[in-house]
Amino acid sequence: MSNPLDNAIAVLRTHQDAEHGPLGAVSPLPKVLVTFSYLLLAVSFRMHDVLGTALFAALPYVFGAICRISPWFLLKRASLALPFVLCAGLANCWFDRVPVAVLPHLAIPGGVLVLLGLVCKTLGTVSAVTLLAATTSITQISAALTSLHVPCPIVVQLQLLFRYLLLTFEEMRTIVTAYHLRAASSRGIPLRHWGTIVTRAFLRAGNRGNAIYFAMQCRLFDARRPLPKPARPSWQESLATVLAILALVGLRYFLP
Amino acid sequence: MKLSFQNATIQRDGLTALDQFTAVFDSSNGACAILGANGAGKSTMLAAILGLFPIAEGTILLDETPVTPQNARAIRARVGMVFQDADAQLFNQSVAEDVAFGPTNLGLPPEEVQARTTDALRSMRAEHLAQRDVTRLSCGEKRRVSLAGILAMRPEVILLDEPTSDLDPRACRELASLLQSLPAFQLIATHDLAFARRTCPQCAILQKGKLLASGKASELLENQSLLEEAGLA
Repeated sequence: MSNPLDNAIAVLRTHQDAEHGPLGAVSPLPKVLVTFSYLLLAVSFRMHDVLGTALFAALPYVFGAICRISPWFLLKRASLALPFVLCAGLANCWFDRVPVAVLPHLAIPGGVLVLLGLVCKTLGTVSAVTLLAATTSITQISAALTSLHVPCPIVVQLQLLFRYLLLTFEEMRTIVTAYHLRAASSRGIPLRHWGTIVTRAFLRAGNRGNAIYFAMQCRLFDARRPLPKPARPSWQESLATVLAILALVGLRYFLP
Repeated sequence: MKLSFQNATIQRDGLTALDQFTAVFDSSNGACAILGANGAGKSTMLAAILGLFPIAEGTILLDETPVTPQNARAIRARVGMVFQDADAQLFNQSVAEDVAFGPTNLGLPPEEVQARTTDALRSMRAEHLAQRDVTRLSCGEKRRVSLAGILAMRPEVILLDEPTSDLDPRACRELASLLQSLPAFQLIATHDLAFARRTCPQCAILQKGKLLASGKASELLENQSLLEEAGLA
C-alpha cells in the first residue's frame, strides 16, 4: 500500500533504504559543503533559463548513477515535492502569457518557462539533498553542521525534529492500519475520525518521544553541550571538494 | 558498591509508585532480581536511581552520593539502564552509531569511542550488526544492541527493566548467559521467575511500592505463599 504516510516515512528513512555506495565512505563535511554549493548555484538560475536549469538539475542524477545510487530512487523522492511546486507554478501560466524566445524559432509563454524552471530546480535540489541524506546519516550531517559553526541548539533541534517526525508518522501509520483492519469494508477514513486519529498519533508520538529522551538522558545526552565534530577530511577529500565546487561554479556559468 | 533507598517516596502521574521504600543493594552479594506484579513499582524504582523522577521524600544513595538533579550526570556515568522497550532506547540510524552515542557523550576521543563500540558489540556477539539499521533488528538483537550501548559506557551498575518481555525462550537463555558473563553489578526488574532464578543470586520482592521481602533468590523463590501474596504465582 503506497500512501502519503508511507511516502513520508520513506523520505525520512532515505539513509536506511539507500545503497550508500562509495560516497558513504566519504567524510560528511565535504558532502555537506558540495551539496550546499549545489543548492545555492541551482537556485541562482534566472527564471527563464530553462535549458541551463534542466542540465544543472540532471547533475545529482548523473553523479548518483556514477556512485551506484539509482536515479529512480532520487526521482521518486524528488517527485514528492512536485505537487507543491505545481500549485505555485501553474498560477504563473495564467498570469504570465508573454512569449519568450527560447531558441531562434521557438517562443514559449513566460509563465510556462517559469513553471518548467521551478520543476527542474525542485527535482535538482531535492535530489541533491536526497543524495546527501542517502549517503550520510543525520548524526554525521549534524556533526558536519557543527564544524561549520552552525549553532548547537539549531543542530540539536534538527536532530530531534527528524526523530520526532519519524515517530509521529510511524504512530499514525500504526493507528491507520489498525483502523482499516477493524473497518475492512470502509473506503478510506471518514473525515469525522481524522481529528481523533491525528490527536492520538501526536499523543503517542509524544509518549514515545519522552521515553526516547529519557533513554538519551541516561546516556548523558545534554542539549547544551556542543556536539562532537567529525573527523577532519583527508587532503584528497579536501582537494576533491574544492574541485567539485569549482566544477559546479564552472558549469553554472558556462551552461547555455 | 552500595545502592541504598532510605524511606524514598516517588510519585508518578499523580500516584504513589514508591511508598517509603527502604532497601540496600550490595554489589558484593551479586546480581539482584527486583520482582513484583505489574504496577508494583519496579520500573519506577530503577528510573529513580538515575534521577528520572523527582524524589518526593527520603533519599537514594549510590555509595555516598545522593541522587539529586545536581549529581545526575555523575550518577548516569556510573549507572546504565536498559529500558523495557528497546525501540525507546535505539534511536540512531545504525547500530554502531547508537552504541557510540553514550561514549561520545562521555567526551571520549573518537578512537576510544570506536574501540569501546567494537568491544561492546563483540561482548554482545553483535559485531555483524554494526552497520544495520536499528529498526530492522529482531527483538533479541535489539536487546543485545541496547545492552551493548550501555556496556560501551563501562558502567559499574546496570539496571535492566523487564529484559525478557519480548524474547523467545532461546533468546532468554542467551541473554541470561551474556548477563552472567558481565562484570558490572546488575539489578534486574522482572516478573519472569525462571529468568530471575537463572541470573540472580539475590532478589527483592516489591508490592504496591513497598519492599515485601528480600534475600537469597534460592529461598524466596521457593516460598509459594510469599509469591502468591506478591501476585507472582
